[in-house]
Amino acid sequence: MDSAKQDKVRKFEEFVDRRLKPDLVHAIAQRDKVFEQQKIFSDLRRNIENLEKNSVTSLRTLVNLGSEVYMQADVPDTRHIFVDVGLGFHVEFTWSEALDFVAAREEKLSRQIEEYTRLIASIKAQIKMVCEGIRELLQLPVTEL
Amino acid sequence: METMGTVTPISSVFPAEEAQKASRRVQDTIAEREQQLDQLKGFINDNVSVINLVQKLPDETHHNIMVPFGKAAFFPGRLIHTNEFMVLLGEGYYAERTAKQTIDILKRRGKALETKVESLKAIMQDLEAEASFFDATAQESAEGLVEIREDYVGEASSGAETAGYGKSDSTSSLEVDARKAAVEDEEYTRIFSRIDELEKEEEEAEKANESDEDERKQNELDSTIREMSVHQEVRSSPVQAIDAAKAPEAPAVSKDGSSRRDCPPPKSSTMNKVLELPEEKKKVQAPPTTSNMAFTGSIIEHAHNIGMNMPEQQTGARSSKPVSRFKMQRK
Amino acid sequence: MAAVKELQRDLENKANDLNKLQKDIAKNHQVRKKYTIQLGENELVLKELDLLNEEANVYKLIGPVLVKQDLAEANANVRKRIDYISAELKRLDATLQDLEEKQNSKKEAIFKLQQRIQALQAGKGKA
Repeated sequence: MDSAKQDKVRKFEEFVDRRLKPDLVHAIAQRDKVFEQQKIFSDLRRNIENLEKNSVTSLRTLVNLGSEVYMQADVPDTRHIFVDVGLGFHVEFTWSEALDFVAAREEKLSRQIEEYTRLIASIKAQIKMVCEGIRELLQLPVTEL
Repeated sequence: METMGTVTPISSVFPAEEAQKASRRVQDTIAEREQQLDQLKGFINDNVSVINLVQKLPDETHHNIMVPFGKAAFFPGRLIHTNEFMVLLGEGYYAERTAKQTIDILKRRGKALETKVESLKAIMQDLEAEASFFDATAQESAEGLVEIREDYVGEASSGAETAGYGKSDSTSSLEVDARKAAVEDEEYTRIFSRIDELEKEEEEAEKANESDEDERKQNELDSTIREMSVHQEVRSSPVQAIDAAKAPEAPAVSKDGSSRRDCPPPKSSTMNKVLELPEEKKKVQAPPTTSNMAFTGSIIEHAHNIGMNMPEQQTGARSSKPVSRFKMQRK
Repeated sequence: MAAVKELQRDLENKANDLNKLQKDIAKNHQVRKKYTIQLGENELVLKELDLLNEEANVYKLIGPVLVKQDLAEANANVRKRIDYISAELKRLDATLQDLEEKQNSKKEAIFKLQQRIQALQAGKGKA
């Protein structure tokens, strides 16, 4: 009886440690990745909006060549922008096209974030549940006394 | 020959599992260092390719490229002023340099990275030695080896020092004199390798003391923490057992690199008392000086190594602010 | 028996104190590590600045803006920073020493307490 209980507790604990916790860590890491993407695209949107607002058609910038070495670069015409659409493809857009694309992408990303958030919450809830179960298992003999 | 010392099974001093645990701990540290090493090598490779790039860029007055705009977009554009580079010196300082000057800077950086790699390798070698020592101890312990302590009573010099070391098979050492000749060679080599290791540790620890840790650690050891029931969180209990018994490196490993080498000298010399023969002792003293200087030096240096993480930080900085940097350059 | 209990409570308190001290020491190590890294970086910068000729253009990244700086000024700033960090490190060393002294005296006290408890218990056992 007692050993069976202990066995059960051990199994529960294993489930939490080997399954639920790694799942949680994984889900959080995934969500962080999406957050990063979200930031990239919102930055892009803001930058394009800035270009529009100030009607910048050419610009000069510093390009990182690696190891923190920069060189000046000249962009003669900013009205055409190549945006990363995934899988290594870059599509040539005008500003307004780019903004439309970014808006769509942002929406998709925030949906993903929501999903992950829900997943994380449910894993957390499961962990809590199992922990509660373990506690009950261990507490029972105490209350019986 | 009458027995004049004590015989202790090694397993009572270092239980096999403890030694194995210590060994595993060291292995973990080695793995960590290996990662650092890979990272450094990555930096070196990056550095080399940037040097090549910087060298070639001024060959033309401009290069057509896709100019990155944030992380997800590009503009078609071109590199201009191909002999002018902005180089980060660190701490947010940038300098305007020509290709040649930039290459000089990068080469200096590369050299610094190389030295870091070298010292990291030295550390790893040391750790490997440690690990194999623990493994050997674990094995000996498991095999039921015994340690024999005898006070050396012989020539005048011995009184002062009592410092020969030795551990040997129960069989062979119990009848040392009789079988001496036969097993001598084999035994010597083993003894000496052990001695070397012990000496290394001692020296290391001494250095550590000099550099910034104080001898109070020794008291700690002497008062044999292992007796204490108090649990100290900072160092886990398995280490403690070993640590009190002998090993200087277990704690050093368990903590972050910056810290203390608990010093073994008092312990290890008392632990390993004289086996016999004065000539042994002479040899004991000879090797450590030569064989250990190099590696101890680097260890200490490394315990507090400054730059280890710096390149990491730079990359961090780079990735975290590309957009703003971009923005600020806009005209 | 009451005496033993008393001693044991005392022991526990001391053990807690020791724990706190050890945490402080660990924190000290961490901060020191950070500063040491910064010191290293600053020294590297200084070395490179020293190698520049006087009319070289030097900029400092302040927030998102690259601000042009006088080389001499940059040099002075980095030096100041190095001085500051060195002083900080020295201060940390002093604190560390202090902490370790405290730690050791605590350890000794604990050890003595344990011995007393053991002695008392042994005495009880025989009696």
